[in-house]
Amino acid sequence: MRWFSYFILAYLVVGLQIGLAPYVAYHGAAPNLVLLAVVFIAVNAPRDAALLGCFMLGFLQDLVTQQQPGLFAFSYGLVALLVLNTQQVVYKDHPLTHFSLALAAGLLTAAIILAHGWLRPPVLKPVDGRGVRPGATTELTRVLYTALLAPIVLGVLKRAKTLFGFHGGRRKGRAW
Amino acid sequence: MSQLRFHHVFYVLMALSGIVAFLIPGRFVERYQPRIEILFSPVARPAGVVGRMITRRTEGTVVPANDHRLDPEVRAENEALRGEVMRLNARVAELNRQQNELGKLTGALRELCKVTKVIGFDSGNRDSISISGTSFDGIKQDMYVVINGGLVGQVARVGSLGSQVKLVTDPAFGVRVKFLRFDKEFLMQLPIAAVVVQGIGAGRMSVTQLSLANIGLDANLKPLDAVAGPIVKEGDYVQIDDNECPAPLQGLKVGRVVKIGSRRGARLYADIQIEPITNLQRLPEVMVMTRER
Repeated sequence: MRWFSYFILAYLVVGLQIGLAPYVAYHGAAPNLVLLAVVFIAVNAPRDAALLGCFMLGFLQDLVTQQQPGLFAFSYGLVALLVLNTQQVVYKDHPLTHFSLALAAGLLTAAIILAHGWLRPPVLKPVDGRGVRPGATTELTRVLYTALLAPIVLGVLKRAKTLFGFHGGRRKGRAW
Repeated sequence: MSQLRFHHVFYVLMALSGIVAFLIPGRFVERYQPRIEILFSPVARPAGVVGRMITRRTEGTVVPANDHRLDPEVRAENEALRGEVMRLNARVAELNRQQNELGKLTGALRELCKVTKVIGFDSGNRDSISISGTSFDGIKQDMYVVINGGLVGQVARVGSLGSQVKLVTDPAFGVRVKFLRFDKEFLMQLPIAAVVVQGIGAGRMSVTQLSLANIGLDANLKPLDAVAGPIVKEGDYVQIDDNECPAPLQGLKVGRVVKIGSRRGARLYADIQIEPITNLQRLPEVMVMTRER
């Protein structure tokens, strides 16, 4: 995988996520564009590059959220493991594959985020007390919204696949 | 030859991130977390500007769903508000004159604040915004963030490359408030003690400590007194009444009641949902209160 192209994608997708999210949100649920990039990398890249690439996307997202650090890195690492196991059995460029993988990846991420919210609810400030635990409705809306966008976003990314050199590493028999 | 394989490194990274996310308390981790928001502003800000332009054209003025007032009524209320502002300004001036020390403390809120640009919204599922103000601008953790229309939130994390503001609608934000109503032309404080309003995410806040009887409703959400109606109703305002907040913030608008229901799991308690007056996630700039006097 060409890491320069990867970093440009990561930069753009995190920038768009923090810049566009409030304008495309539906009932408070904004789509997770970074997750779509994670699915794209996990579906197409060689195993080791995909694992590291997805983990780093999560790490980058952790740096620009108020969530506990490590949460997205951990989630996207698991997503990468999940998607990589399906690499051989799915038709990578089919919109239905994009939808179903984004849905599964979103559900996994949402489950981790909800579990984290329940185990470690936010601490209220400036008054004392515990914050409200996150509701599942908004998270599920976000998952569905992201999955519906997946065929469009991944369809666009598919056209730029050659820029990432996903197959170069495989032919030479090394990860990157 | 080293037996270390890539997947060993990956699983160590995963274990570390899992430990940091689930086991280590947030207040320890936050200290070492770098803030890099400003690096993304070349993409995030133009994207936000485009988003703002498109939504402004497609949405027009956002009118709350429960706001059925006609234009003349709104104009009349505006006039009443102007009168009220004038009255309050005169009152503040009088108090300043009477108490010189207090006079130093108050003054226009804007003078105590530093204007800073908003870079973008939270990339995760929390209600926060990234701002371009940094520790070099004198911004510190827990400083309050305001706009002319009311309270925005509180600085959660500060770094040399940007800061993060937790919005009033974030589940980690709570503040004591009191309820107010504009009854025709007059501002009326509702007979309810100050209560904690806390964020519940998705752009909303909620008050859950009051029983339905406290706000004049029965278990079926019908008014106890059919003539006087409920004590709190949709459209009422909430404003800060919290000793923990700096004096210039007292009385600042926090939001407006949009829905009253009964609390899940405690049917005799009210769940009063409140929304900020403006969409806090779409603000182009905010003011950080860097001084309290």
